[in-house]
Parts: sequence; structure tokens; C-alpha cells
Amino acid sequence: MDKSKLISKLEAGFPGAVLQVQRFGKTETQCLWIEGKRIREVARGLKEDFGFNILENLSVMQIDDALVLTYFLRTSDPETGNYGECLIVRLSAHLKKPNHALEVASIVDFWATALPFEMEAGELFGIHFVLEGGTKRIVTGLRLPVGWRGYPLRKNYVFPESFSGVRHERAWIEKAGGKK
Amino acid sequence: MSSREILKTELAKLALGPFDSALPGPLRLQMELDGEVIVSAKVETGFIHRGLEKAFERQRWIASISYADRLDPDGPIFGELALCLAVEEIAQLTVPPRAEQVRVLLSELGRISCHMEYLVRVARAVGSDTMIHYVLRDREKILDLFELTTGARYSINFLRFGGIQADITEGFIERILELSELFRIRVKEYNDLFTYNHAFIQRTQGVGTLSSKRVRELGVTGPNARAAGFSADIRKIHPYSGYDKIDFEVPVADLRGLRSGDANDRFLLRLREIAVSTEILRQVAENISDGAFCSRKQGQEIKVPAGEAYVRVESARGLLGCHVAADGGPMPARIQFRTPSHAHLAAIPELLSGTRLEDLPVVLSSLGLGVAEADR
Repeated sequence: MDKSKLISKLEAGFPGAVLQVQRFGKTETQCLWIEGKRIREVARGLKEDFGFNILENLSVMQIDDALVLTYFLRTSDPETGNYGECLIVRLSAHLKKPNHALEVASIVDFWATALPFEMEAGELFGIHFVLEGGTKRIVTGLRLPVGWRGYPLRKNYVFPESFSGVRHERAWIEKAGGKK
Repeated sequence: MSSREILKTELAKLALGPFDSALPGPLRLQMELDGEVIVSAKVETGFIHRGLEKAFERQRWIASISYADRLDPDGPIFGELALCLAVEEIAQLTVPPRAEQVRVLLSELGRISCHMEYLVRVARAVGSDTMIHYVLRDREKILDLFELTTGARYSINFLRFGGIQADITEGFIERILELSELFRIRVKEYNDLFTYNHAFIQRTQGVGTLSSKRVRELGVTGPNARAAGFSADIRKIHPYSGYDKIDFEVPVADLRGLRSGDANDRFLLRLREIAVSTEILRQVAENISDGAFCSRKQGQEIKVPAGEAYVRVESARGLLGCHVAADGGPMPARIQFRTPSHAHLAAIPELLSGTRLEDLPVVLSSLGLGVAEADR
């Protein structure tokens, strides 16, 4: 489908949900910024009406005081598995307090492949993904040792001086110009 | 007349791992067993999490390559390549043709090496010591080639933004051609040892079958998806590093057969991929270009402008994606990897459900999991 048609259809189907359309990096791939609260209805529409049946990747990063979630979607040929169109959907969630977890709606019901990405982002970025029905998925002990505090992939994260009685020596990192 | 006595039993619980010879790496399986049949299985991972993605953000750009190299110890070249392609896209760096060809040579050597590691794991699971010795003997020749050119047998740390670290050493191309000739013979030997081996077929056929429908739903890619009939291969769909100039076929399991997507298919498909990679090696080595090996001065700090890129390469295990974001500073703002083993791990519970306990090592080894790349 023509990308501009897709975007106008999305805008008509979900009025106000698409906040901005831009190119992704230096590629021709379209990147849609959508309203965070409406991710589930947009996800349903993209899968059921537009045929984006593959969630290839979910990447999270922090920009200033917001976490940006990037969903890499694809259409795929059911027979050969060959990839077709690519679409990137983005939402940002504002961090009201730097060390507090925030909530984002889960899209696992639409793409099962989202689960490991959501689990990892949940623990390392401090995102509680909210399932259909309102249950929050709070992940601990998946990548980090039980009892580890904080969300290491956030920009303001400060490594603890020690954990479980083991002191962390990080002087060499600072010497090399790295951030503490 | 005696009446039949029915013994009431409960399901037994068995925890395996995180370190066990039946497992492909550090992970824990929590299983419920009905006699010798696995009723349910739950996978726990994270035992080898190294905080790689955080480490990227604390190093300068040039150092990030050596971290990407550690993404998957069995195939270090793929992490390096994905990162370099992404950074080159953001910084608009060109790569000389000779460097592109060396990248392809190292990628295919890495693919064969990783597949041979896979053959060893499967051979160990079915108890074939002969195969283990034969394959490890041949894999040494690939590691010798890595050492000859990069100075390292593992963790080669050889790619650079805009090319490669150094030109190839004398005799490298000749040895590639010798190796490709040798492997044509070796693949036949492996076929004789395994493909037509009655005992091996009995141990692997119909075990751990992954249907094409589930492959799509779980996001399984690479040889495991092609063993279930999907032909997707990034080298063909979105060619990079000059793969579009190479004449090769992507092996796919024949869906017309009665079975598809079992452990036997996954094994055979990798054998066919070794043969294809051998052919790619021969073609590239025969047509290697002269000229520069890097478009930038060695050791020079790189200034990556603000921007982002997402690239995909076909690693030995499947689709490896790399999302890089730069804010114009001396260190990456964010580097994230989408690894194929993530999806393979998600397939384990349903593959093990209903499987006999004795087949567990066969199912797990046949998936070709890289636990290190999944945990990162």
C-alpha cells in the first residue's frame, strides 16, 4: 500500500492518534509518532486492517526526560516469510520522577513477539506494561540479580558502590572518559 | 478375577540448569514430567546478562565495536558488522569494495564456524563422538584463517567504521580457495556420517517439530525458519556488503514432504548452508578487488553526527537487527540489538511439551540457540 494512503487512512480511522509523520534516519521508511494512550487501538488497526503481521523489534531509549518506544513493524508473505513493507511506530512516555516506573499499554495480544522485548524493557527501563483488563506486568529477576535497585538503562542511573557485599571498581571507566 | 489396580501419581517436577551438559548455555528449565514425558516447561534466562547495551553508552564510538563483537561468542563478526553498517549509515561513510568483500568472506567463515559448532552440539546430543572429532578438526582450519588475518581466533574485533582494521595477510585468499575445495568434500563426509545414518534419522526425525505457522507467530528467523519452509534471508531480501553481486541460492526445506520443521530438517538445512557459504567464499575470493581497505585513517576518533539507523544482517542464527541512536557526542546515545535467539528461546516451551525426556538435548541443540546473544 502507498505510505501516504496508509497514513491518511490511519488518521481517518484514529483521529488525533497520529501526532507526527517523519522519515526514519536517512531512509525512506516512515516513522509515525502516535499518542501513547492509543497504542493498542493503533496496533490492532495496523495488524488487522493494514496487514503488519510482524513485530520485528521493540527498542526503547531515553531522550531527556522521556522514554521513547520504537516499534519496528513489517508485513510478511505468509507462504515464503519474505518481508514486505516496513513501518516504524513511536510513542514517548514522560518520566514524571526520574527513578519511578511508568506505565505503557502492552501490545502482546497483537504480536506475541513483543513479550521478550517488553519483559526486558520492563526491567531495565522501569516500564510497567499494562495488559488488557488493567493488570500490570512488573518484571524483576529476569536480567538483573534479585534485589538490584534502579533501572540501569536510564540515563540518570548511577551504579551502586557495591552489591551483595562485592565492591564495584569503576575508576578505570572515569579515567577513560566514561560517565559515572 | 482380580481387578486392575490404578496407581494414582502426580506430575514430577524437574529443574535443569543453569549449567547442564544438555543445555545450549546458561539457562534454567523448570519442567513437569508425566513419567518420561515432559508436560510443561518454563525457561528462565538472564544468567549470562553482561549489561552490554549499557556498556555501549559508556564507551567511545571506536570501542563499541569490540563490545558488539562479544554479542555472540560463536559468531562475533555479525554483531560487529551490524553495528558498523548502522554507524556508516548515520555518518554517511563509504566502504571500499575490497573491505566489503573481506567483510563477506569473514561473515561466511563465521557462518560456517557457527554451523559447525551447531553440528558438534547435535552430535553430542545424539552421542556421535566420531562426528564431534571430524567437525572440530575442520573447524580449526577456519579459526586458523581468522588468526591469520585478524590475529585472533575468537572475538576478532576486526571491522572498523568505513572498512576493516588492516588489509588481509599474504596467502589468505589462497587458503580460502583451498578451504572451499576441502569443505566441498567434507560436506559429503558429514552427509555420509549423518544424513543417511539410520540411527541419526531415528533420533531426530519428528522430534521438536516447529510448524511454519508458529515460526511466523514467534518471529523465528534464519535456518530454523527456512527448515520450516520459509525462504526469508536478509542477504537476498535487503542485500548489504555486496551480497547482491554474488550468485547463490538460499536453501529451504521442501514443504512438499510429509514432515517439515523438525530437528532433522534444521540439521540438514545447516549442512546445506555450509555448502552455500563455501560457494560464496569461492566466488568472492576469486574476484577480490584491489584497493584501500578502509575509507578512514586507522585509530582516528570518529565523529558521528546526531541521527539514527536500524540495520539488519543475516547472522548464522537468523535476523540480527541493530538500532543505533547518536546525539552527536563522543559516545553512543543508544545501541540496541534484536537477536534471533530471543525468538528461539520463546519456542522452547511448546517444543518440549509432549517430548520425551531423552529427546530434550536433541530438541535444544537442534535450535542452535545463542544464550549469550539473547541475554546480552
